[in-house]
Amino acid sequence: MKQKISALERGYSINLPVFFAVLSLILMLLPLQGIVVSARAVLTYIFIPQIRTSHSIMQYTKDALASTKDLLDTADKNLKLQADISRLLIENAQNQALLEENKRLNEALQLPAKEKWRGLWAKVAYREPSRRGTIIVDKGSQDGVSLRAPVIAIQDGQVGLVGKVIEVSLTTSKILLSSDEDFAVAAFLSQSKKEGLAIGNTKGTMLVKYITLGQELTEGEKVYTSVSSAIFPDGVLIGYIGAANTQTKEDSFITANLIPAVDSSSVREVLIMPALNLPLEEKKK
Amino acid sequence: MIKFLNVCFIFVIATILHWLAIEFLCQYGIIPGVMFAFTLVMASKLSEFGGYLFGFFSGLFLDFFGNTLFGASSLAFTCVLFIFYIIDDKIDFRDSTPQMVITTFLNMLLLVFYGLIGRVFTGEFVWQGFINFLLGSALTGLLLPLIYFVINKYLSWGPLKDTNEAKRFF
Repeated sequence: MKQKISALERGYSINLPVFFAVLSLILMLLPLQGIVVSARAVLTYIFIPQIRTSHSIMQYTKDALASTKDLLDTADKNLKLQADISRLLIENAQNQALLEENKRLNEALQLPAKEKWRGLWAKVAYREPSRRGTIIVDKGSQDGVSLRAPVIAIQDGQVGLVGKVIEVSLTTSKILLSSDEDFAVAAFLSQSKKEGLAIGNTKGTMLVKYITLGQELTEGEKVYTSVSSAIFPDGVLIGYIGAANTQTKEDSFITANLIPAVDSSSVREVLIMPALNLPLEEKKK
Repeated sequence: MIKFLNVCFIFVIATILHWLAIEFLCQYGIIPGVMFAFTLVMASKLSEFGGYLFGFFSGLFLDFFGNTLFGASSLAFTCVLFIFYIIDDKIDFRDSTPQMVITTFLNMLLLVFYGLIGRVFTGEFVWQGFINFLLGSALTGLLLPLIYFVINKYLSWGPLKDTNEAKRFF
């Protein structure tokens, strides 16, 4: 019996490779059309899922590597941010002490306390194509917006003047941008300690007019809203004195270019502050 | 039936791993013979018929991605398996050292066979480069003991134990 199996196996050992070799040869000799194409089409259904799976695994591995890198970066950033928070907490504590001191000194000097900037955040809903100097926001009188309310915005982490409310409907408001030629605000130059009038111009930038002669203006000098402004709270950054600005002497005043702190053409969210000139009863509301 | 399904499952895993290895390493000019390593392991585990059948379909899988010479890899696999079965009677393929040596040698032989088949049928020796000839073969040799170990463990697992012992069945 054992000999019979052995003989059978020996036959197998010769016949099997011959059979598969002949089968392979037939496949090779057949032209790449007709039955071979059909056989390959059938094989597609058998082999393609595995290849897709491999590709998915590969993609997943790549994504996982990228995600891990992102995670490590995030952890690194988190550590830095925690360090920043600790530093800011200390600074905040110091600032609190300074505020207390300021308040005490103000009381001693009998100066009115400065109000914090507060207001209503609104989204820019529409820009008039015909008039680039105005924008429409999605908050109106029903939200508490009133005429001539000052509007500021934060851009690149910096608070800057945007304009003022000139029209109010129930649900929307129109804002005159600071770059519009009809806009004007009393301005204060931080270094030269001079006052002037910041106005918009047709080019979409701004000018500071009526600066008294004397000390030369420096490039990059910050220009804030003045305490003498009837509409705007003082200390809001309007912009910077332009590089190599063309200071033109007109009689006894200087006119300087002003680069707005906030690019009002790209601003998307604004803070509408309470109007300063409201009657007292309305302010109380 | 379960034995047949087991072999099919191993074949599918082999194709996935082969393609993954190619995607990882082809940029360095190395094409490890994962499919070939699986074929040798299965040839040592199954009957000759099962081994040749597995080898034939493994070759067909590789041929599937070629534009010409459909069936060349199947023929090369069959020829190399014939040599493997001659050697298998004389050495102990369960030990990792002979596994690595034989696999490296047979992978080189496979590449030469493939090249020769190309020379006969297309008039051009199909050569995949010396880097692949040496490093690809060495890598295949290194992979085989691992594949052998995993398949041995899988086939020795309780419900599938029969498959491991059914060398003459399939």
